[in-house]
Amino acid sequence: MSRSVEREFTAFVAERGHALLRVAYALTGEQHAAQDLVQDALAKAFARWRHIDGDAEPYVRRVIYHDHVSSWRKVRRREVPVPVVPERAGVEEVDASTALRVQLRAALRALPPRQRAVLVLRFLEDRSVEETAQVLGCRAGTVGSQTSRALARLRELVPELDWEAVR
Amino acid sequence: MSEIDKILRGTLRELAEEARGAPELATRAVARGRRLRTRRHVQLSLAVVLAVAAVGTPYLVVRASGPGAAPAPQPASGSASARAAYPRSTGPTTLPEAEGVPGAADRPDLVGTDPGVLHFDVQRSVVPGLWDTHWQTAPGVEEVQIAFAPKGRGPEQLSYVTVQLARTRIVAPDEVPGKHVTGDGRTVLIPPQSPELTQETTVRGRPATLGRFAPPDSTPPSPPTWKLLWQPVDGLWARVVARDWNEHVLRAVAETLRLDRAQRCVQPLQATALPPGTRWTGSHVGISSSTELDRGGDFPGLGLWWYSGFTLDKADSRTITVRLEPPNFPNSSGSPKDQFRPNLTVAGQPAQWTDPYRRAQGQLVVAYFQQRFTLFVLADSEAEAVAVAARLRVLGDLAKPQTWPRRTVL
Repeated sequence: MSRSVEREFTAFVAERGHALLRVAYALTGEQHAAQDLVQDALAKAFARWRHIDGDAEPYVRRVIYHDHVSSWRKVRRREVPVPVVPERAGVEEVDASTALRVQLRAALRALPPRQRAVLVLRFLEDRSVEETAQVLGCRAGTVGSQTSRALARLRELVPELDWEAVR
Repeated sequence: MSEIDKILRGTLRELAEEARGAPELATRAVARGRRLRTRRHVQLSLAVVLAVAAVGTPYLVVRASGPGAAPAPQPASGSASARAAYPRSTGPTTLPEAEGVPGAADRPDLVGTDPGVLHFDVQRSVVPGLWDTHWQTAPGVEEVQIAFAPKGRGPEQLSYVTVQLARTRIVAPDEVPGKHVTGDGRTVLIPPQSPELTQETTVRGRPATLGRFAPPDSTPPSPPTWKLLWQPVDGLWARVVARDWNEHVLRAVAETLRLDRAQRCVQPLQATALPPGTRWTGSHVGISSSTELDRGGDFPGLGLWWYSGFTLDKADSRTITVRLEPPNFPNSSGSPKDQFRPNLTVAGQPAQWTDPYRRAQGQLVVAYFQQRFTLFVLADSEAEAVAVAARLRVLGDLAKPQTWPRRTVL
């Protein structure tokens, strides 16, 4: 790869690196894991830079999501630690919405990576069901079922939310 | 939007905002990317061996000579005057000579006018640790880029030397500071760059300017890039670019630049016809130059093809890009192979038209010959891509560029 390719790649990382880290952090909820995820995806992109047609960012994002889900597949039997949900007493001392978000983000971390990936794509990146399916390499129906399962799990973990409104 | 929707979105955005910047993200990704690239070369070697061993089809005629087969020496030619100025090469060249076509020394006006011809050659024997070579033609510019592993370095630390010829002073678009939209719709930000050192020198007696550029804001400091610009003959500009501490390689390549011969920018792919309103404007091909196989490594053998393609310009100034590759790398997460779900047939081959991200252009992927090759056509519509792909055929011995079609487009 030429020096110009490296410069172009470096410029791309400078411009879009943080946006990619945001997605990775939303997926992993952990700084080092997010950095590793993005770094691996960028490395793959750099190795194929000449052959990536069009905007490189969708490619990198797709790799991030695939790697995130794949890493879970490799350790699928490993238990995902469920963080302690804050006590009700603490909840009452702060704004109700904020308290619910604190609980919700703890619950999000408890979701399997694939379900979390679906939620990040749908609710953080505002992707349609079809676009989410394309990124994750699955059918639209799978996205729907994963979304339902994810929301059901969140409902169990954060019963204080008005889940009826989800329907 | 429901309340729960808002809370879920808000929570995810808050979470995302906590992401901290990662120092040296690009530097580390580049280093790791190089290692990955090397690993893929290993996979490529297997893929190419499979391709070479393949049984011919109506579209594919491949004769096995195996990796490691050295290309036949290329006879040199050129006018007497050019020969006097530029000595013949005894080093390896891997593209066939364009017999009867004058080199840039005699006809600088031809440079960048024929997408199927490079009007110069590079004495690659002066480059140590050859790894691969990339030839490219585009309107107004011809280019050869050589990847090499300097002494004491492994393949994960390849260096590059690039030679460009043009009829006008060469300033690559990506060297002008600012935000640029590339031809394929990608936006890149190029930081300002000025040489930290400029030196007036000569190349074969002609005045030249050597600049040393330091990468901006690089931590830890990256090696500089050297750029040598001169006019080897009137009406012709040459530029040699090398990175790292390879000023001596840059000078050696410049001093031995061969303008007395032209070579065909061929590839094992041919378009039997073009869709109406399109024009062939560029070609590229990459060939392994590594002798790693001889040293017990597992890189594709000397002279083996590993990718190629060409560009068509349309009347509306947009382009169609065609690229042929070996099968996709099985471990490349996110690669098109992972997403390949044929939804049409092109010349009897399973293919998929996709435009997943509403880019400026969509992409047609054709799994050629039971997936021994993959063809990509980047175009504005499925019909346009199919019209190009349906007229393509793969021909020749992958290890012998001399057997590839003389013209990529008939």
